[in-house]
Amino acid sequence: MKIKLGNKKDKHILVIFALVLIFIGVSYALTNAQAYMKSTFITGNLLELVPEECLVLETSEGVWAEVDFLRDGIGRIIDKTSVNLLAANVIAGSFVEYRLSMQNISELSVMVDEWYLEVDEENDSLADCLFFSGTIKVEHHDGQHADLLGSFANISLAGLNGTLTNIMQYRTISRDEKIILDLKQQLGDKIDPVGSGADFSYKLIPVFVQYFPENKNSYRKVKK
Amino acid sequence: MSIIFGKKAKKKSINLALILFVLIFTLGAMGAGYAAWTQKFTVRANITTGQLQIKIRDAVLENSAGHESLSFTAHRDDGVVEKMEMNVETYSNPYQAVIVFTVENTGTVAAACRGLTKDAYPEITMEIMEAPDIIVPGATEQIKVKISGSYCYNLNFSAILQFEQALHAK
Repeated sequence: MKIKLGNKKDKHILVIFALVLIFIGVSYALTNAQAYMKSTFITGNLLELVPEECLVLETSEGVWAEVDFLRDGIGRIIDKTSVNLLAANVIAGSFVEYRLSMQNISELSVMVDEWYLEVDEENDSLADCLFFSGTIKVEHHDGQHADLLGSFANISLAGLNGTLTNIMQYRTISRDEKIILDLKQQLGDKIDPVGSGADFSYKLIPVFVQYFPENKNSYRKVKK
Repeated sequence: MSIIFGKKAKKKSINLALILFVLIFTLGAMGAGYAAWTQKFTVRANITTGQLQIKIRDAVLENSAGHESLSFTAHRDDGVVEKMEMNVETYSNPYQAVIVFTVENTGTVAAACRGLTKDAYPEITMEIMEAPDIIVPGATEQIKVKISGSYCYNLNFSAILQFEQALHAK
């Protein structure tokens, strides 16, 4: 394709057009980057777990459970985006209920893109014995009001990530709001084998993305 | 795509190429920005099951009847009864014996004795007379087993006390 610009006026228009495009692109990127940098200058995170609000709510008799964070040599938490939910001495019929609290510490609104689930294929002996119940709330920045996004009961491990995704997918998490996930992990009435003891682990990975509002039906109120 | 600018086309096209390069770079940076504004959390869950482990610490012949003579020996290995040997001499009368097992729960799960299985010899019957409802971890309890038999000769058999997790333990 050939574009022929014969006169000076056309050249100026093209250059101005290119400069305007560059200006729009740069300003848009800078505006967003400013908010991003402002909120992530210290930690680099949009959201963080709130360690003092992540806890074990209840366990059945004889079960030991803990919410564990990665810490340095003097006990300071060094990663607030990763948490370990520990449960030991579980037996058939036992349960542990955890609470996880994640706060939006950025200037940006975010939303859940998807929850992923990873299970070690070579060590999935208990995968079919686990069932989950729980609730998901979003606590407002005032700390007093919360929206119940949804609840679930007796969901299998294989269905857990899909359920969490579906409940959270369309809710934006604004600045300072907290996601409160109460997760009850229940074992079925039969575990095989229990005699030799068995270890099992799985990983849930929620992915948060920046929320971009759609402008189709938006309007702006202007003071006259 | 080529763009021609009249006489000074070469010089102008270099300038325009520079502008387009900056434009492309900026738009690319915006794309990179979008990609950066995502975040993952890792919620790892580790589950360790409890252990069901019962050890027979002792086996004692409590009483016996209906025989001419009877000897009983419990063979131990490292404090655990591995095997019992009972020699009974009898003629026509059925005989019986009561053995008391002392069992210790060395696991981490509350256990209960749910029964006894033995090899299919009709000459010998075994039944549990007394057993605790629950043996909590670390506890030692006693289980009484009654053995009854009729005539037999040089019979070797094995029996297994069955334990399982005590559900809803308090």
